[in-house]
Amino acid sequence: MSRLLEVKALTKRFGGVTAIDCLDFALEERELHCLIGPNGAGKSTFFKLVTGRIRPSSGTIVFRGRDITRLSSARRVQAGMSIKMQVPGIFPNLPVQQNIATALQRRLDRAAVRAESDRLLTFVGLEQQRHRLAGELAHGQKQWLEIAMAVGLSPALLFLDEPTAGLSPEETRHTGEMVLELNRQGMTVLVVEHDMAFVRQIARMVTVLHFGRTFARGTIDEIIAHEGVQEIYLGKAQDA
Amino acid sequence: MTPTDLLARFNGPQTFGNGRAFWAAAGLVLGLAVLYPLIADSFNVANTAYFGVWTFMALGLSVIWGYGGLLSFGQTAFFGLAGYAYGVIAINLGDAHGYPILALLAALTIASAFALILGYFMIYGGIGGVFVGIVTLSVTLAFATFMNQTAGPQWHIGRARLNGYNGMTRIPSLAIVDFAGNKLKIDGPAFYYLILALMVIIYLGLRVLLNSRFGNVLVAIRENPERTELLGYDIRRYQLGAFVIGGFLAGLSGALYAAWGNFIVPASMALPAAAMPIIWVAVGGRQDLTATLIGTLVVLYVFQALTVISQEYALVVIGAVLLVTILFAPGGYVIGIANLLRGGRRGLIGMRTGPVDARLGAETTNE
Repeated sequence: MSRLLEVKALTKRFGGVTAIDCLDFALEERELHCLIGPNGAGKSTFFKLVTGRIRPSSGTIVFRGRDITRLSSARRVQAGMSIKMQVPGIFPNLPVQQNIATALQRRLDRAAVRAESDRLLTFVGLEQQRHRLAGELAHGQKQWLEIAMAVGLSPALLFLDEPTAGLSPEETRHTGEMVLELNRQGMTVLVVEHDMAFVRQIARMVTVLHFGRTFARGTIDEIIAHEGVQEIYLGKAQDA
Repeated sequence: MTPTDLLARFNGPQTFGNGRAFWAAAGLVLGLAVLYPLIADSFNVANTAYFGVWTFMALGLSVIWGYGGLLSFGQTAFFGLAGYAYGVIAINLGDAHGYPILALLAALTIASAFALILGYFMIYGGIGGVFVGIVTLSVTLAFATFMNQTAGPQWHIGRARLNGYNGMTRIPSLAIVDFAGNKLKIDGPAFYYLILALMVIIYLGLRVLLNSRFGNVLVAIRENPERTELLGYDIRRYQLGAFVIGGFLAGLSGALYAAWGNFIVPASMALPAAAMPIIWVAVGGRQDLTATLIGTLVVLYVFQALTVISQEYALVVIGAVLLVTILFAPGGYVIGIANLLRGGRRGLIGMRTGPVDARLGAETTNE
């Protein structure tokens, strides 16, 4: 395995608040990694820093051996990252088919776009919906459409921010199966999530963030058994 | 590329009429337009050419606003700039040796360059949403106000007097030279056919462009700029591209207008004039080229018919039409009627692409 993403001494301050505090983080190729933590732990800030939505106060982000700290989001995507946002980021007034085509056309020609969009829509179970407007889909279907768009970029790293937000347990399980299948096919996946059932379903490696730092890192079983993690999730660490 | 491939490029998700019936009807209309000068008197031919002159500015606004989601309130700035530029250059060069064609090309270059500079600072400066309308309108009004006060004899560029409020006059018509070196003026039916040919070329060219990858990305930016960027597109480049195309087309209208009427006035840029393209495009259906084209010609015709009765009255009626459009057919009437004819459940209210909260300009405020 080789290193795909390496974050070194990453810090982000908002005024007097340090949301990410000198954080080190590394991700190996083909890994399926979950980033968890209680509310306010810095998960969203970390996500925005790595995807280029905001700039860090200090620290570096290296992706595929290249320093991307100063690159725009679009450039990071061109470098091989793909991002699924927490709120479904789709084109609501365009048909499902065109949503996918817009994602695919950057790397594929017309005929290939058609074939690949068929494959992706079947993968996420939306092949019957291709002519519907994306905005008319159910919430879960929108999430899957966006996953299909993100996967359509054929990324080296797939970044999912709370992919199960607002989903039913059944839909969550289905999403988990998709993520596992993508990882089996060789895609590196980093998931920011706080639904522990989902994390248990998919993750092998878990990093726990707390107050902007790495609180614990290990396999899912180690993390579940970790007393400190149980405490911060129950709020004991803060009360003590 | 085979002819079939070429034809396929005219059709796609970004244009409304893609079927055989549509193209048959379009061909019929074009045929009638070609025959029109044979049956109509010279006034009506010139008047129809005059309507055609404005359609380029309208199509450009449809690209920027309808497809790209940036409401430019300042298309008449490019119109006026190109009109004055054509006037200044054509007056100074004279109309021999095909110089007016040179003046036309120079005017288009100037308008496009201005759109590139203004668009660059606006789009790369992070101005979005409703502020695009404010900036572009401000530029237009500043330009119109400046030209208004250029009345004295000291305001001239070479032999061309700017002439303030009354505008620049005695601008040469378009002219070319034949093989013997004789000057051939392009006016009357020749000007009509020039405009018709340009309309066909530009309409078809824009259909190809908007149904290409460029058009898909432009529409995606309108729908969700953040998602589009996260698909790896540099959205500012696409927006700037659309803005320059719109500026070029408004400039084409302006230069041709100056050549058609042999004059250009500051009022052609000022507030009522600046609002007109928005009305043409909104009433027809800004998210579609064909709807924009039809809507523009219909509104121009109705407006002129009303102006004959009373100019103030005409402005009030056209303003009311805009208001009714926003309230009852935000996607535009041409699109609404087309949906009704198809028995579409969305009817008048719906946009081409959806059921929509996208009331007039709604997409420009959600950044």
